[in-house]
Amino acid sequence: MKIPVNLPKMGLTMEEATIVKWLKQAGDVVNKNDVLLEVETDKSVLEIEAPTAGTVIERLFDEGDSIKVSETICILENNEKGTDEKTTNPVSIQEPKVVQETTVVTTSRGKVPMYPRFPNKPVSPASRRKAYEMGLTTEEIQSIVGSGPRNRVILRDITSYSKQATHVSQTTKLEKPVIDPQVEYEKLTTIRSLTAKKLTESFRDVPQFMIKKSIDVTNINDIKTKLSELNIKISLNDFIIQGVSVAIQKNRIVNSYFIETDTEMLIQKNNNINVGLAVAIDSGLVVPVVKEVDQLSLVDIARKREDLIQKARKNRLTPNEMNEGTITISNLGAFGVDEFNAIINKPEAAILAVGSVVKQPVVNEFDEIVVKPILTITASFDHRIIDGAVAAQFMKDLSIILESNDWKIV
Amino acid sequence: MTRQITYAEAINEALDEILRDDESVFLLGEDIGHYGGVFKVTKGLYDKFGGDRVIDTPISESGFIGLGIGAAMTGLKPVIEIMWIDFTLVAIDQILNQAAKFSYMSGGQSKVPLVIRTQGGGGRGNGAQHSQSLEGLFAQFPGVKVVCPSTPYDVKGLLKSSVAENCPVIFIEHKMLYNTKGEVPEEDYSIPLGKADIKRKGSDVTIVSLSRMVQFSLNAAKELEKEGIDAEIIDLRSLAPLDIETVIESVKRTNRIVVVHEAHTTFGWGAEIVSRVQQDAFDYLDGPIIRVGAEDVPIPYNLELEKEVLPQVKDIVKAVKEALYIEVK
Repeated sequence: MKIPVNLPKMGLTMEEATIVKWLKQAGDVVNKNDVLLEVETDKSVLEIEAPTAGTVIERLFDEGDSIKVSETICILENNEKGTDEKTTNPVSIQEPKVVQETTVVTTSRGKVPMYPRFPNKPVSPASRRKAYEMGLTTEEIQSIVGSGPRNRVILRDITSYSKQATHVSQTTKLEKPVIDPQVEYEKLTTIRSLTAKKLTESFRDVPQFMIKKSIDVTNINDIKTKLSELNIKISLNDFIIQGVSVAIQKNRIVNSYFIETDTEMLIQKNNNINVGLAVAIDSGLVVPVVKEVDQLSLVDIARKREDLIQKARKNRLTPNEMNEGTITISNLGAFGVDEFNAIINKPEAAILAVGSVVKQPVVNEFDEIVVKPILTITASFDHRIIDGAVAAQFMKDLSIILESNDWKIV
Repeated sequence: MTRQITYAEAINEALDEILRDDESVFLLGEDIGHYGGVFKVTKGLYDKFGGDRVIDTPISESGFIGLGIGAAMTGLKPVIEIMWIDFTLVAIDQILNQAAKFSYMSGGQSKVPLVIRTQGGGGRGNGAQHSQSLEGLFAQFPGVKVVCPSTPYDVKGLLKSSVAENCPVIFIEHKMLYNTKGEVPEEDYSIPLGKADIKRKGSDVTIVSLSRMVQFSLNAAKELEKEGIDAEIIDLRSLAPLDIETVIESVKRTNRIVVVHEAHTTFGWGAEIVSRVQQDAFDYLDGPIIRVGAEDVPIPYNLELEKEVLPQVKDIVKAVKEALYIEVK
């Protein structure tokens, strides 16, 4: 019997994945749960396993190809007798294992494709099917205000949305870029295009303002030196992560999300303080999250941060390790940047742009000019929920903590 | 133009032809002979075919249905008339415990080619014991087929097929349809059981019904048309066998569906249609499925009250608007 292997839906927003690597060739005999291939999605690499023992008789895609959720990737044949399923009729397959750790995984089951679901938004079944057929993205559907009861999105909303979209693309036709065959182009990676999409949204939708603060890191440097003599390695980032956590506890609003539903605007109050750290890797930018930092010592933070960065560099972060961030830190100090601005990582309310430590002449309390190591942090805030005074207080608290001797080391 | 005859005349014509063409067929029932039936359906057949083929019975439904079952098992083809469907309840053991089961319990050695013609429904102020719609009750039992024609053309063609069936068929006419007229061709024809008929093509909503409610639904469609709503009307024609495919295909085009029956809404056969549609066409539904049926009280004797209890054209119109979210609750 021929068994089609389909791409399962591995996250709520997942719509497609790219094949990273084939581990089995056509003709290979496989056991149940053998890894057939690796796919890259939502910034993580996942393994697709054989749902049954058998022989790989056909691979329908090559490495680098994008596949849509529930599309058939390859076909196995086992010895059981039965009616051959057409490749368009997916059968249920084994849940794929996430390489690093198990996350919530939904697989496609039954004979029809799994149309995207919207747990917090009423969308009629027919609309879900139509939107899927028209290739609308989750974001596009989320943006539609339904005309049914309780703002349920119904077919007429989907069809009128598509007409609007067509209209826009017609009127803006002339401004669309023309592909010149003489010029070299490169398709954005999955991560790159996701970043592009998210940041465009943030830049367009979030009114952000910046506050800059110079911080004397003499104390931090002293502590670092003493600890390194004890063979304990703590980086400046770890101090900033803990400092942010303490400053947030005095200014909880900075840890919130701004949420806009169809009818109202909300502040989501996050209890945990989860600090994201922007990490540049070959294929783009990822933001692993150190969670519940208020519960952690500097040593804990350092260990977790190091682990996450290693995983990020190997492209092995799971979706779980990149979600639920409540504030983000971006540090370009290693590149000798004096100071810079960062764009808020929506729906978070703030991001810290950390420059490099520069020795500077400073006038001290005795009116003497002394040389101090100065770090410049520029923070961007979402003005919809945070006003200048609140942001300034947060930055003041942060600088007091960072200049202090008061640290939870172990 | 084809000739126009009434629903009662069409049945009469079908019985006439069946008696003429098949000597094993005979009619059995109360007042069907010399009197010609309460609704004049068997008028003239006694004179034409005689007392051996058109037999008047005492008021003893259980007894003469039992007689019919025995005759059917031993090679004849009885067509029994039960004057009011409400009276089948007197003989329900014979119909559902005996006729429906024999073929199965004998491993197919016995067959019961029996047609029970009866009439149901309200609209005439006949009261609670003479106005019921029991088609769903019979359709719940494997072993009987249940046919509910809505037009003179259908009633003739379906009756001919029913007599040709080799199993018990409950053939439910409607008392308010007997005098309705429609085109019926002169030439011989029959309509296979289990084939729904799309009585009106439409694109905005599917209305599923049978018997008298088909005409009500067509009238509702005319009103809806004035408001720019294009309704498709499906006449199931039989509940067993049930042509759910035609319904599913229609819902896939219209995405909305209303089920209309004269039977009581609660536990009515409309719920069966709802269940099948949500299972087989879930991803095509754009809104909840609405049922229109009789209120959950016995059918009143008073004509005005009866109208309140039974589904009316305005109720169907309202249900369609609800299904289309034109009237959002």
